[in-house]
Parts: sequence; C-alpha cells; structure tokens
Amino acid sequence: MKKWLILFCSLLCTACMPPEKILERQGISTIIGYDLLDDGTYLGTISLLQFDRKEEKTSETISAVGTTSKQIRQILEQKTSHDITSGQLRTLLFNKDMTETKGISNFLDTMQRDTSIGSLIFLAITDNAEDIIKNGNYEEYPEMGSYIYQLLDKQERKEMLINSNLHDFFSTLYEIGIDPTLPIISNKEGVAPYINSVALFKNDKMVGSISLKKTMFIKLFTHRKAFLGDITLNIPVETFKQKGVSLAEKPKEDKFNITIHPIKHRGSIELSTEDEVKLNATISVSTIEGQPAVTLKNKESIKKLEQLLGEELNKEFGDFLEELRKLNSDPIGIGRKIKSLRKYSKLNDKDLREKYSTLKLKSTIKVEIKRTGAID
Amino acid sequence: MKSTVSFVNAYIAFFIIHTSQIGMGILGFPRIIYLAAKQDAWVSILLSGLFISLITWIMIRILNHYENFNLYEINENVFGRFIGSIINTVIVIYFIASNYSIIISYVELSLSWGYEGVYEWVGVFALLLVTLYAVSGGFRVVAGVCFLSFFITVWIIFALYQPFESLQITRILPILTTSPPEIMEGVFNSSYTMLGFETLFFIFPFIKEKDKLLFISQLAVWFTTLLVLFTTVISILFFSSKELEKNIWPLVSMISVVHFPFLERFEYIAVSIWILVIFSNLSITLFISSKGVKHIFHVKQKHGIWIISIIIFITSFFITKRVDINLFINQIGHIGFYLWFVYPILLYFISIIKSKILSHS
Amino acid sequence: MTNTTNKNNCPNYKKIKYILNQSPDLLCRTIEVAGDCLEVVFMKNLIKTETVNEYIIKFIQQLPKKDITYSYLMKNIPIGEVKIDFKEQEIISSLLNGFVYIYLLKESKALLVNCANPIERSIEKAETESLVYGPKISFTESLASNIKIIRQNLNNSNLCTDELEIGEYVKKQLRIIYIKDLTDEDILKTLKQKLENIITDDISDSSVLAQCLEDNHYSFFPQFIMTELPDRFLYSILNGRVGILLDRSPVAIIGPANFFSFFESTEDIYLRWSLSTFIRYIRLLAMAGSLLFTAFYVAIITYHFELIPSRLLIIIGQSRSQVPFPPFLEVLLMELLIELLREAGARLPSKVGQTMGIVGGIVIGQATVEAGLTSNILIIIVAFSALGAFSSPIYEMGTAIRICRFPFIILAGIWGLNGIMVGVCVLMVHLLRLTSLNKPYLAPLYPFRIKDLKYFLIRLPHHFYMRRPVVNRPLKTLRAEWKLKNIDKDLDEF
Repeated sequence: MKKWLILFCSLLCTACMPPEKILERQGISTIIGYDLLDDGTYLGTISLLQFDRKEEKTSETISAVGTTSKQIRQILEQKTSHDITSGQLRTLLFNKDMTETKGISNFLDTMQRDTSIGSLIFLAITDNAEDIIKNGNYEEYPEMGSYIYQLLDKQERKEMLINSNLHDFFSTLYEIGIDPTLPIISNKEGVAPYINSVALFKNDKMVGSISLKKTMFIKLFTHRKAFLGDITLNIPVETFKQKGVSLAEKPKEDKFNITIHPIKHRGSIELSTEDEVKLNATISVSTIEGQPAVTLKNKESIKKLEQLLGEELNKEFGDFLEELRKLNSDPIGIGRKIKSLRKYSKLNDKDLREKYSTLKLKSTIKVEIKRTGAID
Repeated sequence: MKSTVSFVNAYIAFFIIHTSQIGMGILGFPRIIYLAAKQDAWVSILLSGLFISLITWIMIRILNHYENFNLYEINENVFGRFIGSIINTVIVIYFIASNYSIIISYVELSLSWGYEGVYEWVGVFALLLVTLYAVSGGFRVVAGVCFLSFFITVWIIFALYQPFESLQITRILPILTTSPPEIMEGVFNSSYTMLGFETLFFIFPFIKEKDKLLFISQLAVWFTTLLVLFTTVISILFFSSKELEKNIWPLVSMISVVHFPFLERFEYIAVSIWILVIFSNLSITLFISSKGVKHIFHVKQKHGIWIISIIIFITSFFITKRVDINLFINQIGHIGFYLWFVYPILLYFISIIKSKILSHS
Repeated sequence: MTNTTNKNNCPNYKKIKYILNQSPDLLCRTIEVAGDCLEVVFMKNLIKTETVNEYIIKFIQQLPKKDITYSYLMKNIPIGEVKIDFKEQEIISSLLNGFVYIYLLKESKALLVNCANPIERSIEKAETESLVYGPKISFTESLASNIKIIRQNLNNSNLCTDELEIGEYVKKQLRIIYIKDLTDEDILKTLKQKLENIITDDISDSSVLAQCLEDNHYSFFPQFIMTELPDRFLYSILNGRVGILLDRSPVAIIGPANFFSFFESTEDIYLRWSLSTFIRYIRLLAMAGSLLFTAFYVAIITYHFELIPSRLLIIIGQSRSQVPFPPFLEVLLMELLIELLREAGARLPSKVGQTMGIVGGIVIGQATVEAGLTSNILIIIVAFSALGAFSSPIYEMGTAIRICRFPFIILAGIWGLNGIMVGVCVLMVHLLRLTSLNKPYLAPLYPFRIKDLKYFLIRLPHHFYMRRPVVNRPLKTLRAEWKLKNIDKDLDEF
C-alpha cells in the first residue's frame, strides 16, 4: 500500500513545481529610481547585476516610462534577456519633484504588498534618479546599486542616519504625531554620489531639507542609542570672557572653535502645561578638539565650559525648532508624545497638527564633559 | 471502560496542548485583536487566558469524574446515544474543519511568500500525505511529533531580539482607555488563536499519571497565553497603528526585519519552518476526528483517516480565495468559542446534576 | 536413553563413506586388537594428526585386551570432548567438524571424540573501526576465539552465552551473550522469538542475520549495531544490551540500538570529557549538515536567491554563470561522481587504489570546474557532505545518511525550502515509528528520560556516571559508588 502511494505522489510531484528562479538567469536589480516626467508619467531606471561568463561587464542600466511601477517593470522586461526580479532590491530612489508634488506613498504601497521585496530596503531622494544610476563612478563595487546600498548601510550602521529604510519610513508615516525623514543623495560629475542633506516630510510629501548635522537634534529625542556625530561649535570670544572661562593661550581669531564627541545622550519630551512643551536633553561628551585649547583642570572651569556649550546648543536648537514649525513638520515626535497622554488620546492627525503649530516649545540642553582624552 | 493500549507519560500532555494551540492563528493574531481592542489588546489576551485556565480546570473535573473516558464517550453517557451522537458528529466536523483551515491558511501563506505559481491542492496534498504517515503510526508517534516539533521550532522566538531595537513604548500608551465591550470583543475574536486546549478531552485516556495532569495542563495553557501576549505586545510596539491594521501576517512581517551575516530575509526560512509548527496541529486534529468517526460509525481508525483526508482534499478545490478563507476561519473561531468555552461549563453542570439524580434514586 | 546406540543407528565406515559421497578425505584406520575390530574414521584435513596418533591410536593399541570395550573407552579415552549419545545426522555433522568416529564392530557401539584443528586468522587490529586509545584487537571468524576474548575481558559468572543453531543447509552456531542480572527479560524474549522464526538455508554473515532480525525491513536506518571491537561489544553488554555472535563471522551484532548510540564510540569514554562532548556535537552537526547542506544549496539557488547576502551573491553568481545545467542536475551529477569515486576506491586493489584516488579526487574535481560543468562552491559543499556522512563511528549509519541525502535533494529541487521541511517531517515521523527489538528508536529523546541526558547529549567526568542508562531498562542501575574528596578547608588553612 505504501509503495503505491509513494509512486503515485512522485508522479504528481514533478508536475507541480513552483516557478524557478535560478540565480544566474536573473538580472538582479539592486536599485530602482523613479523620476517624474512632465506629462505625469514616471521614468523608471534599473541597474541590473549580471553574471557574465567572461566577467567583463557586470552591470547594465535600462529605463522605461510608465504610469505604475509594475507597468514600468513589464516594459523593462522587454529590454533585456534576463528575468528581472526584485528579490535583491536594496535601494529605491525618488525624484525630488515627485516627493514634493505627488507624494511617494502610492509607490511604497506596492513595495509593501510585494512579498519578494524585503522591509529593509533603503529609500532616498535625489535630484535626478536616472543620472545617478547612470553615473559610472561607483568605487570598487560591481554596479551602482551595491555602491549606494553600502553607502547608506554604512551611514545607518554608524547610526548617523535615521529612518531610512522602508519599515521605519512606514512606521513613522502611519503613526499619528511624527513625520518621517529621508536622506538626499546628490550627484556631481566625475565623483561617486554622496549624501548631501536630509529631507523633512509632512505626511508623505517633502517640505524642506536640513543638513546632516542638524539631524542630531532629532536623534536626541527619537533614538537613544544613535551616534550623534561630532558636534562642532563656533563661539565668539566675547561670550567666553563673559562667562569667565579661562583660556590656556591667547585666541588668534575672534571665534573659538570646539568639537566635542558625544558618548551618551538622553532626551525627553514633557507636556508641562496646556500649551507648553519642554524638551530636555542631556549629552555626555568627551572633548576632542579645541582651538585654541582650554584649561580643563578644575571643576569650575569645566562647569563653566559645560554651561557655555549647553547654551550655544540651546540657541541652535531653538532656531531649528522654529524652522520645523514653519514647515509644519514634526520629525521629533512631539505630537506622538501628546497623543500618548490620556487627555489627548482621542485627537486625530489634523487636530494634532493644529496643536503643534500653536505650541510653545521650550528647550534645555545640558552638556556633561565626561572625559577629556589623554591630557587635561 | 475500554482499555487503551499505548500509554504516555504526563509531561507529554504539556507539549500536545501547547502545540495544538499554537498553529496558524498566532501569525495573524495581532492584527485581529488590534482591530477590536486597540492598544489594550494585552488585557484581552490575559482575560482570554484566564478564561481558558478556568475551562481547563472544569475539563479536568469532568474527566476525573468519568475516569478514562474521552469526550465522545462522556457525551453518549450524559445525553444518551442519539443526542450524544449528534453532538459527537458536530465535534468531528469541527475538527475536520479546523484541520482544513490550518492546511489551507498555511498553503495560502506559503503561496504569498515565494511560491506563487503552485496550485493549492498540491500543497494540501503534500501536507495530507505527511499527516497520514504520522497518524498511522499511532498515538505514540503523534505525541512524539508534538514533542519534537516544539523543540525544533521554539527557537524562532529568540530570533525576535532584532526587532527589539525599533520598539516604541508610546505605542502602547495610554493604557486602559478602551471600553469593556471592545475588550470582550477582543476576547471573542481571539478564540481561533487560543483554541487547542480541547485536545485535553481526548488525550486523557492515554496518559499514565492522571493526577499530575491538572498542573501540567494549566502550565501549558498559561505558557501559550504568555507566548501570545509577548508576540502581540511586541507587534503593537513595533508597528504603528495603521500599519498593523494593514498587515495580514504581522508576525511574518516582523520576522522579515531579522537578518544575519550569512542569511538575509529570514522570513522565508521562518515560513518554511512553520510547517513543523502546524504539523503537530494537523496530526492531532486528524487523530481526534478519526477517533470520533470510529466511535460514531464504527469504522476502524486506520480507514477513517483515509476517508477524512479525501474529504479535506476535495474541499481544497473549493475554498481557496483569501476572502473565503477569512470567512471560514472566522466561522470556525465562533463555533469553537461556543463549543469549547461554553459547552464544557454546561456539560459540567449537567453531569453533576445527573450524578446527583442517579445517586438519589 | 541409550536406544540411540543400537545396531541400526551406528553406521560403519562403508556406510559413512557412501553418505559422504565417496569423499577422498574420509579415512579409516582399522585396528585389530585382541580379536576385536575398531574402526577409527575421520576426515583427514580436519583433524590434528598428533592427537589422533598419540591419544587415540597409540592409546588403543596400548590397552590390555580386556579393556577394549565401549564402556572402558567411553570413560578413559584421554581426550576432553567426547560425545556419547548422538543421532545419525550428528555423526556426519561431527565428522565434518573435525570429530573422530570410533566404532567398535563387535559391540556395534561408537564414540565421537573431538580432534578438530581449525585454521584461523590470528587476532589482528581492527580494520574498519579504529581507536586512538583503548584496546585494539578485533573479533575473528572463529566463534571459539571470540568467546575466548569475551570471557577474558569479562570474567563474571553471570555472563551467559546461550547457544543456538541456525541455518538448515549450512548449520552455523550462534551465541547470544548477555549478563543475566542486568538485561531486561523482554529484550531476550523478543530476540529469541525472532531467531526461532528464521528458517533459511544459510546465513552467510552476521550482517545478513541482523537484516533478518530487523523490525522494519524497508527503513534506511540500521536497527542493530555491528561492531568488530570487543571493547565496544562489552561496553554495550554492561549497559544492559544483548549481543549475538555467529560462527564464521567476525562482526558481532548488538541490540537493541537507538539512534544516538550510533554516534557513540568507546573512545568517548577513554578521552576526557571536554574533547568527547565537543566531538559528540561535531558528529551530530556533521550528520545534520551532510544530510541537508546540499539540499539547501539546490533550494536556495533555484528558488530563493533572495536569502543570499549581497556580498556572497556575486561570488556565487559568477561561479554559477559558467555552468550550463540547472543547480539540481549539477548537484546530482557531482554527488553521483563522488559516490562512484568512493565505490571504485573501495574495490580497487591496493596498488592501483592510491593512484585512482589522486586522479579522482584532485584531477576530476579540478577539471570539472575548469570545464564549466560544476561550480567551485558546489565542490566544497559536496566534499563537506561526503565527509560529514562518515562522522558516525558506525559504518552503517554513514551509509544510511548517504542514501537519505538523495530524497532531500530531489525534494529541494521540486519544492524548494518547503520541500526540505516536508522531508524533515517525514524523516522525523519515520524515526519515531522505528523500533529496535520493540524499543523506541529515538529512545532518550522521545520517551524523554531526563536521567539519560548525560549519556546522549554531553559527556561529563566519570563521577557523574554512577548509574547505568535507563534506556535499556537494566535490572540493576547502580554501578559505582565513589567517594570524592570532601574535606572542608578554608582558604588559609593547610
């Protein structure tokens, strides 16, 4: 009885195989870029990694025009002899116009639905996606997609970027009270693409951009373990004298430059009264460079320096918050914190944004110098 | 009183009950309960766990009263042959339907994650053949399958350490803001996931040390409840609310964030390993339903499993679309709720009343 | 009692020669002493001539006339083994075993005395199993010397060696060896019943006997342990198992076996616990890897390339781009090639064998990659699987793993990762259903015996092993009682 069973099912088995996706027959697309054309259609560009017998050309770039991403994919299939699969897709590039006018959530919906695309793909914004993908400078990598993936991956591992993969983008997009951010990659002739700035979003449309340095303020409150990046401050010498901090040598210019290296940080958002939100943060740093040098021997001078640094950072932070409020974008997550309180848990997105635009934001940043390196 | 040939030790009951509860339900469960109870889903789960613990205690009382009967025999004893047979038939149909729901929802999951071109009946066929091979080995083999599959698959929980880095505590605050009707709706909707403890009714005659069974079954039920609670809470903290409402299988989407240096897209492996998780469910339900068929129609169990498998195979040509499967699972959850949450209480009281009447007369 | 030795049942030389088909080896020495005639009948190649000359012929010739009677000879002949009561068939089989048939014509009675001189291989080192430490002798084909070795190593009075004869046409002697107060009665009963049910012409070797005794004949997995090493044999017997020795066969059978006993080796006890535990895990991992690794390769490259991390992707892709076959065919080709190499290497005479090994291993492996028939990565994977299959100390389990690999490769080629999982389920159920002498095959794991955890999972220092493993249900579990040092000293005390 068992023998007949085995025979029977082995006959059936061979007819019912899933579609084969043999590795070397795939043209593996690692990056897709979408540009918005004038008539409302999209230009999709793909860079395919090909496994060539002779190891000469390993990548090929092709483009097609269409209205939905899957239609673009179908037209691209006609242009190459390999199967195009998105299993190894690692990066998506979007055009700035597209993100400013139409928003990118329509494209991202299909990415979420498609199970062959993982949730860890990187998203980035550029001026012109086609140019970047067609750029020939990609260091030692086989093609542009791997290069951009490694670029973004390195920034993410060092935690200098925030929210740059599909899953993070979506979870902040769909959450009421916080807006996502994405990196902007720029392209220049003759050099490999590089990360220029970070884009701020309101829902799924881009509203502005800030420099990479300023993302430190966002990371203070959203990511406890992220690396904030070395902070460089330029302080006029007069404020030094005002504070009474003694200098080891005479200043050569009228600005004092110091770079500090953050070790740990902690930030909290509190709603103190109906209209006021307090943003408190503490950063422990170790100083690495000061021009000119400062005496850090006694507790007094360290304390004064800490106060000085804290106030400078506070000022910069205040300007930053104002900028955010003007754009009506909330990457720090103040709205989310408000919604988590019992009083305001019933507010929806529109109400929160209104409240956000009328709130008073008070910020205090404290700096704590923990270590000074090998010398005092 | 019939004599059952194969005896197993009491600790096996833990594995049988636990693996019968964990099946396909847990993969999609966070979404279902979030739709009902929002961020207070954990309250629903704890209530559900409490309820199940109570029911398990009642079940042990009923079974201890009858000593070595399984539920089919108890039904006939309490309600008489005719009504007892009707109730037994309903139970058998429930188990067959539950078996089919697990098979077809796994096949659907697998077809969405990388196996698009295959027909559903092929997957159903393969799983049915393996289940037949397991059940035809007897109760010992079925218990062994539950035991081994627990140990091989319990390690998937540890893979969840990676999503820990992107949890946001504010998503579960503020607590206790949903109204009690919504929480009770959550308990009602969680029935499909938490069902499985009813197998205790049927494995009771096979266990050697019946006195330890109360402790072990409570342990199993609470372990499942805690596991479901853990995964649900992690899902709520991981996904934002609209995302959680859209994802059909939140647990699988969460596992897709896990990556290792030598392996990416871990969810493909998790979906494949899930066959081992459901294998124990399929074996136990097939065993119980064929035992019921033996009891009602006096067909030998080794022929009964073939008949039931053919029924399931034929059904796999009909209920295959996503919407149909959803409806089917909901119906089974509801019927299961009435059958296994409400009916044991009734049975307990009726059996007490009956024994009191009998002892008086 | 003595009606077997009446006139009709004691044949003389002519009759015996007729029954033995006029064999030229059958000799008869007729001694006429004091009016009585004695026939000394023997097969000339099977006896020791000095014994016959000295202790039979010379002895009889030096007897006084009145003592040449059956009863005197029966009591006084100076040879150890004398058979008195026997049937006619026994005469022939004893003659063929080297006995001498002494027939007294006048009284028509006869004696059988043992003067056998078998030629045996001397005791050598074991060839198929080897140990680094520990005794290295192996069993030989002679049952007598095997029993001698066992008795020398285990001189306990409770060591029983029950005798049975098996085979109709060629009768071979079989011994069942166990320790009476340790072994479970059920095992013995089952074994004896199975042995009695075997009716066959000839059992050529003990491995054939093991196959006849198995519970499940169709399974790939062996259900008895076959060993050539006496120390392994005795270790199993001391743990409550039963051993079988068959005459003319140097391999002993041990039963009941469970799955994890195939990964134990007596070297685990001779080496220290740290190395033994490590090697135990390497064996199990190697077995699992050997079974599944090639199948994973096929599944991932054919259906699930998304699982490969991006850096490996380029390496694997480049090496695969030259191959014209799909991964499934490539793997089958390579596996069959390695099996062919292995078989040919085992059968070649030793002089040619070494060259062929080099040719096969290095040249063919390199050449197939250069010609573009297989990829580099596959050669590494197939070599690893081939090595891993033989990590089990018992050869049969290694062969079972080798064969089991092919269904997994086929399943992976048809259904990808899901196919491998279905295969794992089938394998799991199969192992659960398998029994060896009615004991479950996955014994310490499935009917979970927590006391046996330290036997099959890890190896601890010897003072943890004061009790025998519970798996075989021995009648006595306590085996040692040591007292470890228990002096309570403080740190600064001396």
